[in-house]
Amino acid sequence: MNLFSFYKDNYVGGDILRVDEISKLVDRYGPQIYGFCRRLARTKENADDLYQQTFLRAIEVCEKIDERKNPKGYLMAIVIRQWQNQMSKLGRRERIISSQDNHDDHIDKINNISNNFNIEEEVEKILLYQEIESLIHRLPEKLKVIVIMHYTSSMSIKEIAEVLSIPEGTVKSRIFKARKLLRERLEEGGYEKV
Amino acid sequence: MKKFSDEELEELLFRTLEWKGQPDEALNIALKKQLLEREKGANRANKKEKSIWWLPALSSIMMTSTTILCLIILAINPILTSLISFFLITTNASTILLTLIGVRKFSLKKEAVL
Repeated sequence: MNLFSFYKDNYVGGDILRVDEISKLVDRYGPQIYGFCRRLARTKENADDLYQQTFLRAIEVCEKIDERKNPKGYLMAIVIRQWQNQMSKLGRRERIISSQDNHDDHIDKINNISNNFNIEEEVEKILLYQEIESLIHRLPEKLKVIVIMHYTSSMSIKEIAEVLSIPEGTVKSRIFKARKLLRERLEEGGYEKV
Repeated sequence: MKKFSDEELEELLFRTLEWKGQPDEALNIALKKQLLEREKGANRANKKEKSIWWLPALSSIMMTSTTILCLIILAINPILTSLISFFLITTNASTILLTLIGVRKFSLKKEAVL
């Protein structure tokens, strides 16, 4: 992934990025960036850390983000780079973390979506969501990042291709491959649609 | 067993990965505080640094002027004085030109700091 070219293309030279400018980015894109961090890092603690590191890095690496281009993509590129750095620092043991933090999130989601009180169906949905998330995190890193970008941040194929500096066709094929793997693994695990 | 269709899997993935939450307010406040500290630190560092991009050109001008002045005062052979002056002025002009290129093309002002 050539993320540096994305950095280079998306900032313009000039003054150092000011705190008020980056604060605007925090207010505007914070929720989306945080959601992406949360899905990528899984635990709240790691996601908070990744989120902060992203904006702190943004103030260091760029001089001025061009608002007309793609600031969200630019920040996403920093998240991925920071995540890769964190991953290389953490040992394998640290990587295999419990998804307990996100279980609560899924339970909240179900409660918000469903008005019908059907406890069995609700539990099945929770288990299915947890299993899918767990399977996504077992995907190869290249596939996992693209899947999370596409489904959590609602980024289009074109946007993902720009951020990762790869052809759109590659993004499409990776999403296709990820879906195929997920379907196979869900079926192997005996899961069926609820 | 009912298998997942493409559309069903797509929807399941959206439902599983969608995030409607917000970062904690305390987290954003802490982040903005850290950003402010970084900016203050960067400003302090910038203030301490002193750029000496002008030093080579200035020292060259001073040395050239002094030498030419000495040559004129000592009144050595006028042809020799002219030749030496021409050589020194050319060297001086080259130094100034190189400084300008450094400033415009290679951010000499930022890099040549003490």
